[in-house]
Amino acid sequence: MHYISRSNLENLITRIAETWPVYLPFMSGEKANYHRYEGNLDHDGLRSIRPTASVKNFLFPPSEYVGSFPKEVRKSIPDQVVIGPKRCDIFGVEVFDHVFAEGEFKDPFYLERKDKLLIISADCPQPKESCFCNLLDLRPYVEKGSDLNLIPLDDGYLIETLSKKGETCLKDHTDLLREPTDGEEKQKKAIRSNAEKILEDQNRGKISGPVPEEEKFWKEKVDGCVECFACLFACPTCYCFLLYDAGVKKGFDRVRIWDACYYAAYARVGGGMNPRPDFLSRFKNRFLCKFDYFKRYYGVHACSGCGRCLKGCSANIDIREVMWR
Amino acid sequence: MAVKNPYTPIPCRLKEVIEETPTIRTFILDSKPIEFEAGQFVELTVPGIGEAPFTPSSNPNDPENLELTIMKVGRVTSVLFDLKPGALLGIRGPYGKPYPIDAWKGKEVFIVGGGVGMAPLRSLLLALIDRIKDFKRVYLRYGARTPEDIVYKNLFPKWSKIKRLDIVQTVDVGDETWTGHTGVVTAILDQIPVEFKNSVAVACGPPIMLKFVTRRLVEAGFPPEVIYLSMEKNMSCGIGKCNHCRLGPYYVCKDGPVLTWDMIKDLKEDPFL
Repeated sequence: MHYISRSNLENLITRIAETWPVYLPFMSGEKANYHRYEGNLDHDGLRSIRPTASVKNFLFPPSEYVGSFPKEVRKSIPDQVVIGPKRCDIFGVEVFDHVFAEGEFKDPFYLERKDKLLIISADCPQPKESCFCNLLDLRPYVEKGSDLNLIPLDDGYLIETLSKKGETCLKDHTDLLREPTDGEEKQKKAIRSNAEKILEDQNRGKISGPVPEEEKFWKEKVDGCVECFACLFACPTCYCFLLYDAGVKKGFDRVRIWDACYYAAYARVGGGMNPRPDFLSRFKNRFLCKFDYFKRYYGVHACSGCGRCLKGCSANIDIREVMWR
Repeated sequence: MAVKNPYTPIPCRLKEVIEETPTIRTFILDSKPIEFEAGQFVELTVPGIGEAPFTPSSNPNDPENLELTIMKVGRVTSVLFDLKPGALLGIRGPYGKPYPIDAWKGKEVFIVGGGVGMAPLRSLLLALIDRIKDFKRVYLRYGARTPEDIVYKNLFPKWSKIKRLDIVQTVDVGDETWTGHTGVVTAILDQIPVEFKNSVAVACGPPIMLKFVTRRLVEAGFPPEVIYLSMEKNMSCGIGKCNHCRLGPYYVCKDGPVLTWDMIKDLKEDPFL
């Protein structure tokens, strides 16, 4: 654990940005969005809740080349640095690791992107009303899963090394760091317990046992949905994708793009049979996937409590009312 | 890339096409491009059109050929039906879990097929025939819509001569040449002459057929954990990632495509849709 002042954090990022493209959150109204670092640092952006986009965009871009035919050509994947992901998004990476980095078939594109991405996460000192990571047994700060973690103090930051990659990154910049004082360590504890208290207070009683099976419950929820699918595309744990061939006559590039289980044709098979032909069954499937199926398969829920789905929802469907544990 | 790219097909050529029925053809690939075990499937690419999952219909032990029996139903298969021998295709796989044939030693194997659902079952049947003495008896009950819709017409007479192999066919609607059973396949399942404690059942066919066949197999006395059902969904990546083939908690491509009734009987969704 080290202390780094606001100005030295800027110096550190400037130095890193000399070698790699660095992305970090900047406030735009109420929201934080990732932009490339070009010499200015938005400290409010770092202290805000999760940005609009999640780390998923860096590890699993909306559209990605995954091969070519008949001759395979390899395309290079860039080294990148992302600063500011919160615990909810680091949990999203854990979900992606289960799907793409484990088992018999590993995804070489995900692995390479992850290998080439340095993640400097940050504590989430002021959770907002849409945040509910505590309902998924997560805390609003990162202790593993990123390379370095920033803890914003009243003045300056604490910076914690969480991986070898993080250690290597800091090695040449010790001139910008110093040991934290007892007071700063105390402040860290206070900031963290305050953030936890905010989450506990606002989410108390938000989930109450299993979702009722009654069709009425689901019908009420689904009737509001305008099928914009913002919830699915904004989700840091949704990993569905579609493979398609961008064809030229003599060969093609195979591309994967984000897909969403709400689309009518999502599960449709050749010949037109569709296991989930009506929207209600697709709507239910999303929640079953996140809170039942994924948990049974990988031992964790496919939800991080980031709240993007409910913030993005035109119908104000609050996943907290539908989820169960 | 240290990890092999699982999304890229390997090139292969179409060697021969056999017309089975007006809508079903068997496509034989030149030099066996990949090895597989009965029950596993492959992803076949028609360049410029797309990719679709098929379970091979040939004998997994055949060292030379890989055959796919395919019905013309959609975008990819329509273009495939226009291809001539020599055409370039792409293939990747095999994916999914094979039938646990070794565990069936000494048992009776009761197979039910419908329509083009006979394709994967032919692969299984050929693998079983290769070691038929390992099994107490093998039964095949096969139904097609009309005599014209029966696949592998020239193979059935050969198979019917094999000792320990008991075959009954039926058609929904017969014609003047048809002397066998008529009616849907469940109609020839009234009598299932097996000892249920020491047998397994396998079924493949259209979802509606599977639904009624499963019901009949359960009623007859097969334990749910030995009823093997082909549950093909929209398998796209083939490796349990893209999520299109999800059936309850399973990725059909990875955990199937053959699942036991025991695995799916209590799902919150209808597995036969």
